[in-house]
Amino acid sequence: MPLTQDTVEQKPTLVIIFMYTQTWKIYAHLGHFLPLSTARHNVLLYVEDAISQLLEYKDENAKIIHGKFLADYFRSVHKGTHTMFREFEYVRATPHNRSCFIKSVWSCFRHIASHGELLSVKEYHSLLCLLCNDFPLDVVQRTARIVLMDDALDCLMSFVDFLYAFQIQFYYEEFVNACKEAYDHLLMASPTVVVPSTESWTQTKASTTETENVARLNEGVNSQTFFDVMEKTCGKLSQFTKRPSLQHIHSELSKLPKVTFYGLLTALSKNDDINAEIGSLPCHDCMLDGSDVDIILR
Amino acid sequence: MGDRKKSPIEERKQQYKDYLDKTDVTSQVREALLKLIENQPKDPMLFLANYFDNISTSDKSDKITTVHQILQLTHHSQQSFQTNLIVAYDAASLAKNPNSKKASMNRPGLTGSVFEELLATILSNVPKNLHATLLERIGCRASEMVPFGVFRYCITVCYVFVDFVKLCGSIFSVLCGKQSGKVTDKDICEIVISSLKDALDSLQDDNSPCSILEAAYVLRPDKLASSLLSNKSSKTDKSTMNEDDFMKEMIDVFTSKIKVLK
Repeated sequence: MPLTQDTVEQKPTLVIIFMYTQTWKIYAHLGHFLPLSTARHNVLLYVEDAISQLLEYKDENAKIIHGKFLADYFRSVHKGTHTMFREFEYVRATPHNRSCFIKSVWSCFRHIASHGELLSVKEYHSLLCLLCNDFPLDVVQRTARIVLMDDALDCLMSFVDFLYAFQIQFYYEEFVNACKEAYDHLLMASPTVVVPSTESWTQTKASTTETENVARLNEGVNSQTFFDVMEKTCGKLSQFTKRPSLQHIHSELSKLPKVTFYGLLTALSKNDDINAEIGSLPCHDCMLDGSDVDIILR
Repeated sequence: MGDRKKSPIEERKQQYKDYLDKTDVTSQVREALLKLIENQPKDPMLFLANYFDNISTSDKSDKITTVHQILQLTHHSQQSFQTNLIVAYDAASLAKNPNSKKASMNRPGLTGSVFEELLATILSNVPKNLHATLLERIGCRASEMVPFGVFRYCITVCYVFVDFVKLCGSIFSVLCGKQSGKVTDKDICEIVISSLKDALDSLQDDNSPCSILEAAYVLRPDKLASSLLSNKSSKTDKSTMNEDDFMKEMIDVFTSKIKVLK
């Protein structure tokens, strides 16, 4: 475009537009970017908590070095020791907190497993209350449903079964709730109609687990349908909500033609890939490996 | 009624706010968050922990430590490292004591001696015998003033060097494989060293993207693997090489490519 009188007159406007976009960029850089990048790590939540801890602490101790206090706080968040003896609201606030709490449950009580002791819901609840004094009973009860496949809730459970089921229930709480909703919906929608399963599902069924699952075949929903619904449900969850990878869910679901909700959760809790994905507990067989000193210092 | 109920909370809030302002916590946290956004570390909690550690110890520490802490904020491959370099240079060039009457004390600027000390701090994790040749090449005279260009070049070289030493260490342990004792076949080591040398020699002086790609091509894994395999078949003598010698040779190749500044 040739430089005419018109374009020269337009120049100031262009400059203003340019400045406007630049300011907007800077604004976006500070305002928009801050939530996105820090939200992934929940930085603001930790900073706020650090400051409120600092304010609480300074009432008791007049001589306090603020920099050191904050450094210690963030170091303990980094090391994963920060959820010990904190209130439940804080413990479940972020995925990092949840996984650290699960890890401390394991490291504090893992010797229960070595004695092979079986405990009840109430006993597990009081153990958890030692680490977090307002830990709600209903989370423990829901965990028991996973271990005991939704029946006979007064039965005793082994520590290993409980811990891995607790991990699924506590770490993936939002996902579990969303799945339960989807499952109930599915169950209501097709009470008696048997949906013919696809070839691959039938084959695995026939070859491996037919006999032991005959009784269970009548309950539950079609695995493939359940998986499809779950895929949609997962898409609706917020991007920061933790959920197990669909491929692991798929590998569990493809083992059976029909599945119940708690059956699936039990299977997920026993899946080593999902356990590795969360990364707070060792694999099922090496629960007692390593000395206590190593675990505490790690 | 409503007023009476609300005011203690408001009062408390104000008290807390005043307290935080008075003790500088507000400004420190704001500064920390800005630094966090700028540097975007992989682990924000560790970053904040180190940041506040530095704040609480910085009163006692000297200029070198402060500058080192600024440089340490982010990895040298990150964009924000360039900003940190500028900030660090400014901090390093502050006059020792601006109010002093002695000319040597109140003049701003980064002297060679302070600079050498800083380089030594950065390289403190590397054994001294390994970085001596590097310091010889990039070191300055004690009385010289260091301009920013030189500062940036030397600091970046040092950080790359630290990474390089780490990599060499892991290459050596790969070469050792399952062999016990920190020794491995000499021929194999020599092949690795000579291929690094070839790659660096093929770099032209202008550092054009093409020549960097060509150098990377020389270092490609399959070429290295095939030359290692061809050696394996014709192996006759069993001379060995220990880690120190290997590191020394690798580092010689590295340092030979660095400009001499003195």
